[in-house]
Amino acid sequence: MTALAIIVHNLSVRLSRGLVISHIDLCIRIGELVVIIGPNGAGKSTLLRCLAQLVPHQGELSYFPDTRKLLNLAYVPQRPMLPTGMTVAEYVLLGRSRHLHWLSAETYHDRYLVAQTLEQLDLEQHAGYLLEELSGGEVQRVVLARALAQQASILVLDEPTSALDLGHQMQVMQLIDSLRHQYKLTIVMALHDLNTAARFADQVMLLQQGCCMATGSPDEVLTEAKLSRLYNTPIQVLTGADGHLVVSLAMAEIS
Amino acid sequence: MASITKSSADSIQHATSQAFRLPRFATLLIAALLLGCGLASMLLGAAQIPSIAIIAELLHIDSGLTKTEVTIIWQWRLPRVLLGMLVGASLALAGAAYQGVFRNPLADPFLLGAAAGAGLGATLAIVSDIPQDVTPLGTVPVVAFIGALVGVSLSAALGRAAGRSTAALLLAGVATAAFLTACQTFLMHHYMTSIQAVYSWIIGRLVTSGWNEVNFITPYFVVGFGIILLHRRELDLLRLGDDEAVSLGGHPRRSRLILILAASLLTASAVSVSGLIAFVGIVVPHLIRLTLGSSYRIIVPLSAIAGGAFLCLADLLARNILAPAELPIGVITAFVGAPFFALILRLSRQLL
Amino acid sequence: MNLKHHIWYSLCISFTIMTMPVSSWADIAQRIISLSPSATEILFAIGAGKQVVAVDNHSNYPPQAPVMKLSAYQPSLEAIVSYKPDTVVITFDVIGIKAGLQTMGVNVVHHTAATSLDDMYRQIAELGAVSGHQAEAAQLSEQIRTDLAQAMEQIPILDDPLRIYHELDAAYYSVSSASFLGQIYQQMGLINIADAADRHNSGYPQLSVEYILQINPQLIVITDQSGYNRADVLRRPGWQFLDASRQGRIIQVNADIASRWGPRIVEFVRLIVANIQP
Repeated sequence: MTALAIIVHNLSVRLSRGLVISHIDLCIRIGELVVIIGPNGAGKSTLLRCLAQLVPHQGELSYFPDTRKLLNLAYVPQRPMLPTGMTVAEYVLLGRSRHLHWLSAETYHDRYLVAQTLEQLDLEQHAGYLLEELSGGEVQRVVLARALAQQASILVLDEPTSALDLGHQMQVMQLIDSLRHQYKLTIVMALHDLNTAARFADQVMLLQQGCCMATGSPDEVLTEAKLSRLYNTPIQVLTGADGHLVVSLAMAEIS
Repeated sequence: MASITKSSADSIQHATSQAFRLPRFATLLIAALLLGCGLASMLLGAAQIPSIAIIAELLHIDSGLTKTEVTIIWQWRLPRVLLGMLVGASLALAGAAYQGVFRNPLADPFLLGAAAGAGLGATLAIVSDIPQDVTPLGTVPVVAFIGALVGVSLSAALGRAAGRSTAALLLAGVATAAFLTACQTFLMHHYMTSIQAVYSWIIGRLVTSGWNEVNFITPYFVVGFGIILLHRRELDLLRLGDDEAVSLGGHPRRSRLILILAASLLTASAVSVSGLIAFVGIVVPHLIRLTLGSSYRIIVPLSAIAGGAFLCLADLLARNILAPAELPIGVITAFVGAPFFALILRLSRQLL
Repeated sequence: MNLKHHIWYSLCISFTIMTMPVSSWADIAQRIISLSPSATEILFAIGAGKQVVAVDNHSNYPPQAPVMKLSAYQPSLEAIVSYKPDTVVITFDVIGIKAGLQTMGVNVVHHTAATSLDDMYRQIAELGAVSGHQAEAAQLSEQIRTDLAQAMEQIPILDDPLRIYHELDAAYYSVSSASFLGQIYQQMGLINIADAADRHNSGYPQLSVEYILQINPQLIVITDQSGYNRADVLRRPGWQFLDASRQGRIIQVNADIASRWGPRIVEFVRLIVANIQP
């Protein structure tokens, strides 16, 4: 058994529009990839922002080892703001902000780390580009690079593949997965695509109207009954040739 | 293949080592411009004094100048040149800070009711019967300073009541400015005989009385500059939005508050001694942004230097074009600044 | 030169009076409103004070003038008409007040700020004609002419005329010879240092303080409305070295007198003359 990274117990979030997250329990182990699934408006983004300590919450939310003072957690929103006129290298270098003191500037080490990260994500050619010159897939990689440069042990990603085509979705997910194994990262992300979740997730949480409907391994959670109830539409789950689950919409007459 | 790898290694090296760095050549150029403008401003003026004698006097070498000429150099020209630099730098810095905080390229130092408040304060001081020598600085600048702070506080209070967003604060600033300007206009129409004095204050002027103005504005400049310079990295983080700024270790809320405070102090002090000099606060940060880079680590220090140089140059023109008459400096800043800015905009569009 | 001017203006005025419709001779203004402090002073000086029913809020002289809440700068048609005037004297034709009054059958005398003594004499004559005090008006003009001539006789004849600097406010706005006051200084034989700075004859140039210091005026005139006094001027760096300061020739004048064109201009000239005696 690997050690715990995050414990969520009886967590609730109340925003001005009401209770958005209610009474959620979740255990996340170090190195795990947890995917949160749910229809639009289920509270996925709010839950992720809460994990990144960006919204006040009730209940227990603990990180291990206990680093409440300086929580090193990288958070990437669904649509990251890309300031105009900023180069890729500068954007990734911003990831080092947490490691700098008030008066100090980025050191040689910081810049070296950024160069290394860019190289690793195949962004060598793009280092001097402006953010607005990048394609969607490149932007996702740059944002990931910034999160990596932060050298955080926990990554919270809000639908990192939502703006990408099928090929790039797979590329980015494979990249995230390989980085996770390389750096022992703990990753929590929201996803819309159930097949991707089935393929990569260690743990899946189904979120419906702020409540946890089910948590567990993809095999346990991504069942026809649960998914059909979650999305309120008939859903078919098959097992693919490689052993991963394949989820598809079922035609009314089939069901 | 090897050559491609090498060139990409070079480009990554270059990009990472240049990220957020002050462009050395441009920085030296702007600094040289500031010094050049300063020197030219010291040598040229309505009083015809030989340049060599002025340089000798500045170097404390026996210059053979009369008592009056020495007074002109040390008590009038030098403080005025310094005041131009300080006011220009303050307005440009405040403009840069407001633009960063509100993430709005149209933000200028007079946004949050500082200008309207100062205008009302100055008008009050001009039309009322209070003696003009309450402080060595005179009464108008002090009351204008208070007015500017009252204007910003009113905007802040109103914005707070409307919500916590920067948009609410912006709108509150607009409402406050409109209200205070209405009060000022009412006063002006009531005391029509003072309209000329109020008007000359509104269009902006750099009229000094010895060193009083420079002494007054310097501490605010030093503190404001220091605070904004310390927050240059926070300003860059603010460009990513609050959530990401927080997760990257920034303190967007606290920084915004401190930056607005510092920028408002800078604006209030600049406005109180020079009236409403338009265009510097909005144009100078943009010039730097368009030509040298969008990072506040570049914009903040270079805006301060360039703002000082720009206003110094504008004042040089204001003092010399019609000498021995003076032109209001606000006219020059807009007259020179607007076409120059249009040119830069056009050039930068070609670059993109 | 001056004489020629006078004849020319007298001719003009006679011509105007002769060509006036006959009916207007009978229409002597009985209810006059003055929205001009200068006109108020002139009307009372020519004995038309009894016909003046209201004056604007800045017309503070003479004391018996019926000051009302009327603004010359933001005139209110309703407020003016409520006094049932037959004639209104204005300096500024703003927000269409002239046309507005005329459509209501009110006679409007539009006297813009005088830029010369001749201008002033012409306005005095016209006010005399309108109010039916032609004789008194002519007499007043003659009196002012004689008084001014008398006062100016007292001016010492110097090889080098005195350099004068008239300061309007703390931003060093001044009056050049293109203004009413500047013309009087010119007639007094003074050299106005503001003239060099007023190439476009605006009348009110803003001077550079360096220039003032270097040109070294021997006479400085400030008004009592600018919020500072002689001592404050002397405290400005370097101003204590000026000839005007050393010879005690910084004069503070009443701002009302110095900004109006009317009978009290004689007082102003006498004050200046008294201060330039060697």
